[in-house]
Amino acid sequence: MAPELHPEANLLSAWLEGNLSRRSAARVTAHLGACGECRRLAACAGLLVQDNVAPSRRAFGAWRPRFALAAATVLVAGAAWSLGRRPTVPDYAPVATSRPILTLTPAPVRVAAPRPRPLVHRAALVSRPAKPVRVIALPPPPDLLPTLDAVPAIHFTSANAGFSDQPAQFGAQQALAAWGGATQSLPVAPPPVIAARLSYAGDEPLDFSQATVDTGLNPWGLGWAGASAANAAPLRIAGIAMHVQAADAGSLWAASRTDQVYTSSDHGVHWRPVVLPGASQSPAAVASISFQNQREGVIRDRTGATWLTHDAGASWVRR
Amino acid sequence: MARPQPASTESRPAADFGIPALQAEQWLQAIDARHLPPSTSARDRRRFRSQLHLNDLMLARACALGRDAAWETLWTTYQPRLRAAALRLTRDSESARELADNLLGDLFGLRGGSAEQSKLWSYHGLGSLDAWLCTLLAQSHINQWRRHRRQVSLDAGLEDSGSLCALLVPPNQEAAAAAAEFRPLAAAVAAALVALAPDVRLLLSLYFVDGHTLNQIAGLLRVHESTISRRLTRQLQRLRREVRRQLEHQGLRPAARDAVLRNAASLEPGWLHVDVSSALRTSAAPRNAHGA
Repeated sequence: MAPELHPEANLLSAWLEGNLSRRSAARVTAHLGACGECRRLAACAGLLVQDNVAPSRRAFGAWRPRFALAAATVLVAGAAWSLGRRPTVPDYAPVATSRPILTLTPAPVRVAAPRPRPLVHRAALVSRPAKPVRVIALPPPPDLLPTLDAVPAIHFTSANAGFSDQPAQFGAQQALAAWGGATQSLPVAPPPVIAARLSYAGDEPLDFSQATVDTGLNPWGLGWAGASAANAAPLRIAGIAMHVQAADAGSLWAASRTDQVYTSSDHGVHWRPVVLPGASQSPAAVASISFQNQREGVIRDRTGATWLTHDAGASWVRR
Repeated sequence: MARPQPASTESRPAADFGIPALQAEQWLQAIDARHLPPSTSARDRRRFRSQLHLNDLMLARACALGRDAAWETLWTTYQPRLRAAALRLTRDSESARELADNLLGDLFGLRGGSAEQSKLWSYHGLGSLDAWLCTLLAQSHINQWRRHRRQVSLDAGLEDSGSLCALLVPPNQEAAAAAAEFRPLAAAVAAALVALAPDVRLLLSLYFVDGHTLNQIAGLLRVHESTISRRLTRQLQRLRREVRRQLEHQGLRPAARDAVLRNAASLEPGWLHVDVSSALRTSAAPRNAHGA
């Protein structure tokens, strides 16, 4: 549980702005690492303080000078390396977000570095035409939320051309606005811009290398080159509240609210609605969908309600 | 809205609000005594004072003393800001106005009382007055939200903290027995977590315990999202190495250790999450909490 003394508003606000001395900041950081109540307050206040504070200085600031030289070296080396080699994965490699904090596995298999290719191959790659786009339409839910009105379709393309760094495209204002709605532990009502999460928890790579979610208003790209279990990525899209998770190579689950859950067993070609017991009486935004295998899965909403299935969604138990 | 910067001299901000320099110096000495240990060098004291938001501090103190001009400045500057901030929390203009005005009303209503009563006296200028007010606003909002949750929790039947715990119930006896086999692993994980640096603990707690996204954590720590992603990946790799080392300390031979890790990969990870989350919550709590 929390330590005896919590940081007062003076210290917490100064920590949020990066105005504390290194020693004081370390104390607040240590406290926040152990106290969930103060982390909640810091996250809530940080949402407000960020409006007035430019991205800067202190938090993790001690790491910066240490890694500045190393980062510059890596950049130079990476630039030199990329001139002679075909790019395989994007620089922005998102980490797993389905929260398997320690999926402990034996030592990873070392993979040999790709062989260098001459520059002429890169030119040929760029000029290669993109593969056709496969459009997967979600069935219209009976009672559309305003946020779902702008979700006509999900496009999965197999083209490997282009990679969109979603967070970079996502403006600061939208990102801040998305904060509140996406935070399960924050007592913040869903904002107009809601974070969506598109994650993949299967063991095998998906059969598409890039996914695009088209809101009908604002198409955002999702980089998904070489998707694997370690490469699941959150996706934040203006106007969408949706979670898509693959239980295995062919099974997908998508949900916005607990009364609007859909599943597909054929890579998203066909979708069928799933009824969660008791969800229609008090529908809430879905916080996460997690399937450990094709049969065992959990759906949680933002109020903390949880539904478990052990038979691939045929029956659900509410906890 | 422009955020007041720390002043280069200490007397000018006080003079702006009609506060005697001697009075301002006494306040600053009290703040020094509150936040600096007695052994602090003169150089560090000067640096500490140079980082104080003196304009904000004197404005708050002048308001606490009941100066009308200061109150007018505070009201015109921060009332729209706090209402906008409250709107981001409540998403309801009526509630937002009530939340912001209640906070300002609390500050305003206490003016003219004894010096110990006004909340504005507790502002020390370490951060900006804007951030301090936002922190108070967030605290008020959380308190309000807790009161509301207490009122509806009987109907809802679920507490907000139950979301994680609900995942941790083994579905049947066999699964529970299987989970018991991994207690050495859970102990190794807990031991590895104890050795975490505070900033790493905060990062892991924000991500795994609180469920914040990378984007949210990046906003809170004011670094880019991809930086958080890289740090998270790196720290998890270190954690895995430490877990392996802990398993060796438990006397497991390499073959048995690899078998445990291999089996852990096929285990329902939720149960492991329990141990990790509870360990993150309870272990290595900071010994000397601050705020004194």
